[in-house]
Amino acid sequence: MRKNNFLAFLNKAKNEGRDFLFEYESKSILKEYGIPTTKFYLIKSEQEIEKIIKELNFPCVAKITSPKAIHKSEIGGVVLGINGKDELIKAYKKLAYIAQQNNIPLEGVLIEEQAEQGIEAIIGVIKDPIFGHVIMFGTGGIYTEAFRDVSFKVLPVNKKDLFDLIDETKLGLILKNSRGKKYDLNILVENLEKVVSLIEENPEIIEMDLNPVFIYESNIKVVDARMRFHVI
Amino acid sequence: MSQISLLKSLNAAFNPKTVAVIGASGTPGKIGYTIFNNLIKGRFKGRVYAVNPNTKVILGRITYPSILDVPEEIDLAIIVVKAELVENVLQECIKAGVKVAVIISANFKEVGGEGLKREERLKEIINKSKIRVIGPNCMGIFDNYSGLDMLFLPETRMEKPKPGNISIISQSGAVMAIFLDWLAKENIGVAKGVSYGNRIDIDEADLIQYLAYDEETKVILVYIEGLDENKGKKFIQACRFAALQKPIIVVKGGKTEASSKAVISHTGAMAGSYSVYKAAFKQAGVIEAENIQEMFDMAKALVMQPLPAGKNVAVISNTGGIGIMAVDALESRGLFIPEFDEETKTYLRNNLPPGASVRNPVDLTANATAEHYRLAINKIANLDYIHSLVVCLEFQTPQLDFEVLDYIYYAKELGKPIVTITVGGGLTERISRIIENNGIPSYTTPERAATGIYALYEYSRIKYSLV
Repeated sequence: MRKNNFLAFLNKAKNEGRDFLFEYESKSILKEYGIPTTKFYLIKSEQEIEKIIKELNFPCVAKITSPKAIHKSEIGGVVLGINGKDELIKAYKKLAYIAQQNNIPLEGVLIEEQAEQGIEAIIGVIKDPIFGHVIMFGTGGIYTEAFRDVSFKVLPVNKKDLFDLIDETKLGLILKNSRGKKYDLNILVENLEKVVSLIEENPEIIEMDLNPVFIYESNIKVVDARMRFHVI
Repeated sequence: MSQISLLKSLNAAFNPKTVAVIGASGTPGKIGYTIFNNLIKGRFKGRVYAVNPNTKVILGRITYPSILDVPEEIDLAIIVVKAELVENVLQECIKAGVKVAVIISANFKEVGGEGLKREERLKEIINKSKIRVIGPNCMGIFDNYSGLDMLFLPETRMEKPKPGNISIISQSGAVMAIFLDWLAKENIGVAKGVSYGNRIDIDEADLIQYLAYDEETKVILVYIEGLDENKGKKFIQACRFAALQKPIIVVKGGKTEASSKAVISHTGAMAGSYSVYKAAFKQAGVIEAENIQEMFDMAKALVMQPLPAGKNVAVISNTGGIGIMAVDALESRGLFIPEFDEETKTYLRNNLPPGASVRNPVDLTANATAEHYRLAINKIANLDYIHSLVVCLEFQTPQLDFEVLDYIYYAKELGKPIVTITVGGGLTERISRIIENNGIPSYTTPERAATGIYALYEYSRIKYSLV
């Protein structure tokens, strides 16, 4: 069932000439594997704001969704800290305008609740030509590549490998020694196991970035997600 | 290909009863000459045949025009003909029922173009037959027990090590030769060396598996630059299997090679091929050495010493400075230098020269004699919370006589690892050699000794984690 849903997203992307999945598509897949994400809605018109407004918690975030814009923030395609309906309408208009100015097709605008700040982690996957799929964990956020506080494990992995994966990073040290807070690493490992099953069931994925992932004491939440697949 | 037939084929490669050198030559300086000459004049006990269609006699031996004319079944064919002729020669080997071939000849995949095509055709031929092949583009096999020696470097340029228990497999023939030469100079014994070149058939995982079963091999050294596509999992499995029986030390060449993958993700940008190798090595249960000197220092400790029961190390020295630097180096390698108990400290205080430091590291002072070392070693090596010993011996101080060498062997009887540090000049070097000839690794700097102790502890940890 969840494999079929994945294939549906995959085929849609292929038909549109994409080798990557949109954030909302990636998050839909994560949800099917029980990996918590921020709440999100894809709206295709200003009118659709009416439909979601009752359920929506403010503040929220709005992001351009377009096959031509993988790196949304580089073109100003992300609006943060939206408080209330009026601001949301304004944000929608702004993003539609940016899409038009940059001459990129707009699939829709992704509205997401702004999650409570947690410790920022990255969970990644890459398919290596020699070793196959490799899972990565470490310090996330915008300075991920500057810190390079990450560790890797070649799949398949067991629970112990995933605990080692966390232990091998400085972030692991932080999670174990935060004063006044107790981070449940079992929950983090359970979620890493879900990411592993997602990859094992969908080996078409050749790259995946969950960044940032907010880590809370007894939960995690994927804030941004992207997946890239192999085009045959 | 089943496990047993792989091992049988490799046994025929290292331990053949009959060998044919195809491309043998009577002209000194040619590879076909050196290999054939080494085989008939060296320690190798099997029967050796020369194959070359252009001559009747080489070095006084009847020479056959083709492997098909050799009057006996051949276990191992060593092929040293021009690349263009290899295909044909290999087909004749298959027809003659040769079990395994080592193709020394170069100019295959490594040169691209026509060479690549040649290698692909060769691969097809191999896949359709039962023959197993090492190479091409390699230096082949050095086996110190069967006496099989394909190294075609002049003996005046390269020493061969004595028989021992270290084996090395290397993607690069030169790195293997250099390492064997180095081990020979250091008087450390070697079991086997294999340079496998382009690994058209037998790859590093196959060789590691074979060495896992090899009784003479106690430590496996691996030099690799890269594995072939999709071979990573096979490599990890072979290593995990072998690491249960004996330590594997890997040096990876080409660490900084820029990743050429077109990636869009942070993960892709950070997963350079070396970081993935590093992770894979850990999961494979191998010890990674930064460079060949580290590999050498680790191998020396692992082949000579038992494994420690834990990470606690005691340091005994007759110079405070070297002892302190040893502690720094050990701690930065993750080892632990525990404080001694009061009873031990009192004993040491009462028995060592005045002014000696009885904490860990123990400083016996420049007035230390061999007897002081004996007392300190006997006491400390018997402490159950001390798992390894590092003994620093500075012979520059005239009070220290050579009897001390007998006392440092004592820890060995207790089954605890012990290594020595002797920093200095010519005399020190000679003493160092004597210590090693008695089975105790001797290092020229505190850092190198720490590398040795680290390898012992790391392997004990790996072995435990794999069970």
